[in-house]
Amino acid sequence: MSSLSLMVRQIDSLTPRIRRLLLVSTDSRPLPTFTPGAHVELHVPGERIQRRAYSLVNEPGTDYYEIAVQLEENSSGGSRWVHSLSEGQVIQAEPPSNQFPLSDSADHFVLIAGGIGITPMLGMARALKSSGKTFSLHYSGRTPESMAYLDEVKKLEQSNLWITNGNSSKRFPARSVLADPKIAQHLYICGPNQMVNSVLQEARELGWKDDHLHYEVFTGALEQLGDKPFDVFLKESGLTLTVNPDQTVLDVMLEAGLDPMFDCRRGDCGVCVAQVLEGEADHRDICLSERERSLGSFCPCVSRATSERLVLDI
Amino acid sequence: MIPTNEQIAELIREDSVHKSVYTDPVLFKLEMERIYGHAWIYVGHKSQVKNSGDYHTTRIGEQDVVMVRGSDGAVNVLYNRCPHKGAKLVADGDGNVGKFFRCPYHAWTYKLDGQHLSAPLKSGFEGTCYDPKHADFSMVSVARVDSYRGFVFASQASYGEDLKTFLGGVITSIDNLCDRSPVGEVEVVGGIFRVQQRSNWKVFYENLHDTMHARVTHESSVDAARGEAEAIGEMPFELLIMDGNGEPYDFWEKLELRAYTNGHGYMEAIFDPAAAERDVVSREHFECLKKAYGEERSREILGMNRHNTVIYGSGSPHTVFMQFRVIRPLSVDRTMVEIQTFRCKGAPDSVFDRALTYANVINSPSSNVMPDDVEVYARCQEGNMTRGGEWISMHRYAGKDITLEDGAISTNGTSELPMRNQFAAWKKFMTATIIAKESTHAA
Repeated sequence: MSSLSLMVRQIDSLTPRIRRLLLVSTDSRPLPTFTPGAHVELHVPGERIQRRAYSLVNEPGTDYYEIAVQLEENSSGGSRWVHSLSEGQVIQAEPPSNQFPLSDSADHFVLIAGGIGITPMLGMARALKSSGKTFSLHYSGRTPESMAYLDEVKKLEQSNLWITNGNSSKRFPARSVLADPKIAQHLYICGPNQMVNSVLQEARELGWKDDHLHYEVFTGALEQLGDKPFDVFLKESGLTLTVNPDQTVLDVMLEAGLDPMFDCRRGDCGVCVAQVLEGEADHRDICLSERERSLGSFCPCVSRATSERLVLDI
Repeated sequence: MIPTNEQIAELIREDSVHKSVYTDPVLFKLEMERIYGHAWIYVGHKSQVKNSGDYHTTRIGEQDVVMVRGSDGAVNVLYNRCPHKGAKLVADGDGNVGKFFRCPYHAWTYKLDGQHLSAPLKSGFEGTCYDPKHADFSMVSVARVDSYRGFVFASQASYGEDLKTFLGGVITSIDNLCDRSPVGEVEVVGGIFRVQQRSNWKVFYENLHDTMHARVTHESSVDAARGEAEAIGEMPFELLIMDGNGEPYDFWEKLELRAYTNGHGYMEAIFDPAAAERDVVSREHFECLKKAYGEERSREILGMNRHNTVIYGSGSPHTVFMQFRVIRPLSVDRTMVEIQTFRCKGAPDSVFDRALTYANVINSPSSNVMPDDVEVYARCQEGNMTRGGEWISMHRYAGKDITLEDGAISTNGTSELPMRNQFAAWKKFMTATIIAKESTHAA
């Protein structure tokens, strides 16, 4: 499907760091529909267009897309760009797609949000409420001032707020909330990696089945659960770069202005292959053989490191 | 059956050639091997591939090749074939492949010098003889690639004389074309006209220095130009260049035809120092060159009054009006002519405008002049397919040319020296003894 032109109709500051955008069609054609949990990928302009995924907060069947974006300190460009937009501006996006859909077979939903992870969860809560299905929504954050949509969540009778204000004992009590897994009960969570990891681990220990656990990290489905940042030293370029969980080695190289050779960005083609000189590689490609990996071949477009530092020849 | 060298040699006499050299598909195939498989052939101009990854496709004989600018700035000429299944890697035309070639069939990738880069799911080759470093898995480069003042040539033979030796004295035409720029550089600008001719490739070469055809074949376009000039009361440039073919025979007789080894040559009018100041455009050009080269040298450059040059196997540069008609044989009776137009870097825009006018009026598919030629080439092809005779005459001034160390010069501008010279080269390439000797020499 071809990309969409969207106009920024309205921008509201929800918190000092989070702004809400309402995006509408630039012509008379209706916007493509979506289901709860869906996201749109915005095209972040630049020398090379990058796509950044943002969850849709509004209910399906409306004539706009609502997203909320938090300005990230270590932004790879996406949130900084969104925060530079003004009303009336036209942007490009991919039509909505959903990698986080609500299960058809569930009769009760436990929705858990951490911080800006509220966006898909609120979209789901709004839709579930409209359709009369049963659910509970748990929303955790550090301070009320930093939490978007707090008033709306408070008004939902199914909601529970977990605000720490620096007191860790006020954290989301996964063990008690999840104590009683039921056959038709599904868990949905979106939030920081650490929170998502620990809640899922807790759920599994409490007997939740894997196919009843649904999660999404902030940046769409690109990340693998539990990814940690690591440093990569590029020998030929003479640069040390930090690769955050939502980035690849290739991403940070491009952001640093390097001009590496690459093609598929999926670990298929082998065009970007580099040699590991030091460190432990965490291979995620489907191109290289075990023999090649043992000889140090590495796909910077997808693979990561299990060591804190990786040295590549490039 | 492949003819023997003796049989081939018998087709070429001092003053005539057997018509089968234009009509026999077996000979055409041999030409592709023995001429185009060995001679230095013009591939394209460096300005057609300015940036890394830029490519231009063309043919050396019947071989599809791609000229590409490498990441190191070098210009590579590679056969347009993926070593995996043999697919042509890039479509015909010009473009940019980025940092590497990627086959549209299975995404095998190659660096800009043709070296194997990768293949998807390489793990599937584990335990096989697949070897990215083995030549079988890389694109093949044409054996020798060299360039002269931006003009890129390639030879499919790894042995033989170098480019400068091959070009011999005709290299001065390339020099004169480039020297018409105050910085000594030209570039291909604008699109390329392509004209397919229903005739054998050699007839075009012969016609380039055939002064006896001009006022006959081009009578209609000459008459049209003269009628129009009379009607409007002046002879502007676009009519003047059409009118030129109507010069009387004694004009052509005074021209000088120069023939060089390997079939090359040019047609030159007497050096004309006044050429530098003949009209507004020439004067502007002259003023511009004077600043770069001084008055004397500038008169020398603009006074060099060459009409068509022949670089045998490649085509015909026109130095005064900055064109290159590149001649690509397609089959025994089909020829593709690609017409490139050059801009002299640093020269006034009017000089390039004039080159464009010349391309449009004389060389383009919609020209009033070239269709006259294309028609008679096709007539030659068709006539030679009949049983109405075996030999083609090139008797005019045969035996009267002045032999020089590196070729010959005509005593009369209507001499068929250029044809005789081209067929001498043809015979040299086509009789394998020479080639065998060269390969022994190389070994």
